[in-house]
Amino acid sequence: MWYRQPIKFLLIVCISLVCVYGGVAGAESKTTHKVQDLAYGVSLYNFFQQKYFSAITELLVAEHYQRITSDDSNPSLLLGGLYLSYDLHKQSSEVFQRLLQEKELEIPVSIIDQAHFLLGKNHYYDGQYPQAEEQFINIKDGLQLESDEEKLFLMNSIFLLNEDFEQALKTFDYFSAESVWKDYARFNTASRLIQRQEEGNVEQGFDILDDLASSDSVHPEKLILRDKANLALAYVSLRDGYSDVSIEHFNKIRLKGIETNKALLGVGWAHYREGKYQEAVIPWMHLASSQTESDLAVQEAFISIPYAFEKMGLGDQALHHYGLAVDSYKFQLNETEQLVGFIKSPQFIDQLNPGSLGKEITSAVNVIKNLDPLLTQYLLPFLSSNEFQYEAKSYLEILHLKYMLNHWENNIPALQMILKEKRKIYKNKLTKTMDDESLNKVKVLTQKRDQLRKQIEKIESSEDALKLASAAEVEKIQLLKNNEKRIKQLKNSSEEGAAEAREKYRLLKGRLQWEVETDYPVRIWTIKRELQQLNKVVTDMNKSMESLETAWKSAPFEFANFNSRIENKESQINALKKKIDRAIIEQESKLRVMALEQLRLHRNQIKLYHDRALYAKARLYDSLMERQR
Amino acid sequence: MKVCALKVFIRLFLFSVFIANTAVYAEDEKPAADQTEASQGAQQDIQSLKNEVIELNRDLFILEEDLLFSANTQISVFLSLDVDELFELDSVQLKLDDKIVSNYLYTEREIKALKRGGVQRLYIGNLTSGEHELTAFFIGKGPNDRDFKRGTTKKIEKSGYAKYIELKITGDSSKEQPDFEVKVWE
Repeated sequence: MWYRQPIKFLLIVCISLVCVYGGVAGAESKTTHKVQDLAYGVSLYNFFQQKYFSAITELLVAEHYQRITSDDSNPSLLLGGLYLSYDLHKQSSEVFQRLLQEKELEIPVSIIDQAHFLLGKNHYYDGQYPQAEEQFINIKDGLQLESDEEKLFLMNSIFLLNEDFEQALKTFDYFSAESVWKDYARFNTASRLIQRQEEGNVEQGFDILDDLASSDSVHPEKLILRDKANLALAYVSLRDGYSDVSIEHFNKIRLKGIETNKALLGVGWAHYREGKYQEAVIPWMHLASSQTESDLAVQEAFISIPYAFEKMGLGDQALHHYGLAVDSYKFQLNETEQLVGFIKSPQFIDQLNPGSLGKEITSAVNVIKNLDPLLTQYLLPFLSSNEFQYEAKSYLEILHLKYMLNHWENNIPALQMILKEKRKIYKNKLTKTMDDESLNKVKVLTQKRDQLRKQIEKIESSEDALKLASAAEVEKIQLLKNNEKRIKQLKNSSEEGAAEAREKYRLLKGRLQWEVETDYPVRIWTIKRELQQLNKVVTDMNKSMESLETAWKSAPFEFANFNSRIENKESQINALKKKIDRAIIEQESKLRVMALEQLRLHRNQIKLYHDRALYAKARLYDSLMERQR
Repeated sequence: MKVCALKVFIRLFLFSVFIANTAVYAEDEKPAADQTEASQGAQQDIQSLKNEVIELNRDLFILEEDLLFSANTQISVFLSLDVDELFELDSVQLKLDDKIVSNYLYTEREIKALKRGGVQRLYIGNLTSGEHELTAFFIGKGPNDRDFKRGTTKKIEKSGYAKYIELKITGDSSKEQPDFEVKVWE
C-alpha cells in the first residue's frame, strides 16, 4: 500500500509533461498553452485539480459525443493515467493496452514509452512483477527524467523482490547523479542485503548505508534518508558492542528530524553500555522533558532514567523517577482509554470528514488536521501511514460517490418534470402546427413551381420568344395589337399620312419582335437560372417540412426513450446507493478496527513499561528499606 | 518537514528502520495472510463500485445533455488562460443578450489548473437560431497589482448546430497588458 499516495503526484508530473500543449522554447521563455481540443482541456482542468472522478467522466462524455477531434493519443494517455490515479487499475491497463495495440505505429515514441511506463506501474502495483518488468524493458528512450528515474527505482524493487542483487546493484549506474530515487533504491537494497544475513551481502549492505550516512546533500528527502542510514548503522553498532561507533552515527542525526527521539534514546543506551550513566541520563532527560510524551522512545526514556540513577547509586532519585514514570504511564493509559471510547464513538468518523461530503479532493494533511489532537498525539505515525491514509481516502471517495448519487437522485424528478413539460409543449404545438396554413402553403408553392417549370419547358421547345417578353413589352405588343385593326382599315386609304402610319406600325412591330427574339437566349438562360434558385428554395422548404414532420412523428418515441432511460438510471441509482451505504459502514468499521488495533499495541507497550516501572519501584523500595533496616 | 516525512514513509517499501525499530516497536505484527486477502477483496469491491458510479455518472451527464441541451440549441462557453504575470483572474461575469448567465469566482487551485493549460466550461445553455450578443467581464489584478476590469463583446450567429465559444485571456507583452479574445469554434 506504500505506493498509493505518491501516484497522484507522480502522475501529475509525468502525464502533464506530455499532455499539456506547447513547449518550453528556452530557459528564459515561459510555457504557452494553445487549446487544441476543448473537451480535452476541460478534462485536464479537472485533472490538474486532482478531481479524477470528474476528469474521467468528462473524457468519457466527450468520447461519447466524439468531441475530441485531435488525432494524437494524449487523451487516451490521460484517460489511462486518470484511471490509475483513481485506483482503477483494470480500466487503466485496458486503456494502455488498447493504445499500444491499436496505434503503435502512428504515435510518437514518447507517448508509447509513457504508456509502457504507466502500464508497467499498473502491473507492479497489482503485484504482477514479471509483466511490469516486461513493460519497463519495452521502454525505449522517450521518458521524461522523473519518470525514467521512477522506472529505475521500480526495476530495482523488482530485482530485490526476486533476490537478484546483481541486477539491483546495476540499476544504480543508470540514475542521474543527484537523484533522490537513487538514494531510496540504495537504502532499500542495503536493507535487503543486510536482512539476508549472508556473508558478503551484509558487508555490501553496510557499505551502501555508510555511503548514504555520509551524504552532504541538503535535499530534505536525502537528509531524512541520511538520518535513517545513520540510525540503522548506530543501532547495529550498539547491538554488536561498538558503542563509540554507534555514538558517532547517532551524533550525525539531526536534532530536529523524525529520527531524533530514537537517536536520543539510542545515544543514552550507548553511554549506558559504556558505564557512563551520567552521560546516558542527559539525552533521556531531554526526551522526558519533551512535549512528545506519547512517543514510544520517550516512554522508554522515562523508565531508562531511573535505571541509570540506580546504577549511579542514587536510589532516592531513582525511586522518584520510577514514581514519575508510573504516573506518566498511568496518565497515558487513562488518556488512551478515553481514546478507545472516542474511536468507537461517531465523532471519530465525523472528524474524518467534516464537511467533506461532495469534496472530490482529499489530502493526507486534511484527513489528519481535523482529528482530535489527542488522537494525533498518540497515533501520528499510524495516521500518517499509507495504510491508514489509503483507507481514509477510500472512505472519503465513497462518500463522494454517495454525494454524486444523492445529487442525481435529487435531479431525477427535475429531469422527469422537464420531459413532461416537453411532452406538453409538443402536444400543444402539434395541434397548432397541424392547423397551420403554412403546411398547405408549402404544398401550393410547390405546385406553382411545377407549373412554372412546365411553362418554361414549353417556351423552350416552341422557341416562342414573345412569351418571354417583359411586362412593358407585353403592354407594347398589346398596344400594337389594338391598333392593328385600325391600321388594316387604313390599308386602302389614300388619306394623307396613312402610308406613313402603316410604315410606322410595321417598323415598330418589327423592332419589338426583333428585340425580343434577339434577346431570347439571354432571357431563357435568366429565367432558367431563376427557376433553379426557386427549386432550391422549395426543396429546402420541403426538406425542413419533412424534417419537421419526422421530428413530430419521432417525438413520441424519443419521449418514451427518454422516459425509459430516466427510469433505468433511477433504478441503477437506487441499487448503487444500497451498495454504497454498505461500503460506507464497512469502511468506517475498518478504519475503527485499524485505529483501535494501533491503540491496543500502543497501550500494551505502555502497560509493559508501567508494569516494569512498578516492579522496579517496588524492588528498589524493598532494597532501600532493607538497607535502612 | 511533515511532507518529507510522509514521502519517506511512502517510498520505503521495505522495513524502514529495520534494526532500530526492533527495540521500540517490538509488538508490531505483520497482518495475517487471510486479513490481507480480505483487505484486497474489499479494495476490489470499492474499485468496482467506483467504476460503476463513473459509468452511471457518464450516462446521466449524457442523458441530461440530450434532454436539456439538444445540439440545435446548445451553446457552451469555455474559458482558457494563457497569461502569467500580466493578469491575476479573480472572477468572470458572462452575459448573453444582456442577461447575466454566469458569475464565477475562482479559487487558487482553479487558477493554477487554468494556468497549466486546463479549460473551464463556464456555461452551458440553450439559444434560439439567429444573432445574439455575448459579453464577458474579466475582473482581477492587472499589471502592477492594480484592480483590473475589462469587458469584451462579440456578436454570434447561432445556427442549427451546437455552438462552442472560448473566452481566451492572453498576455500581450509588447503592450504589457492582458488581452481578452472571444473565439468561436466551428
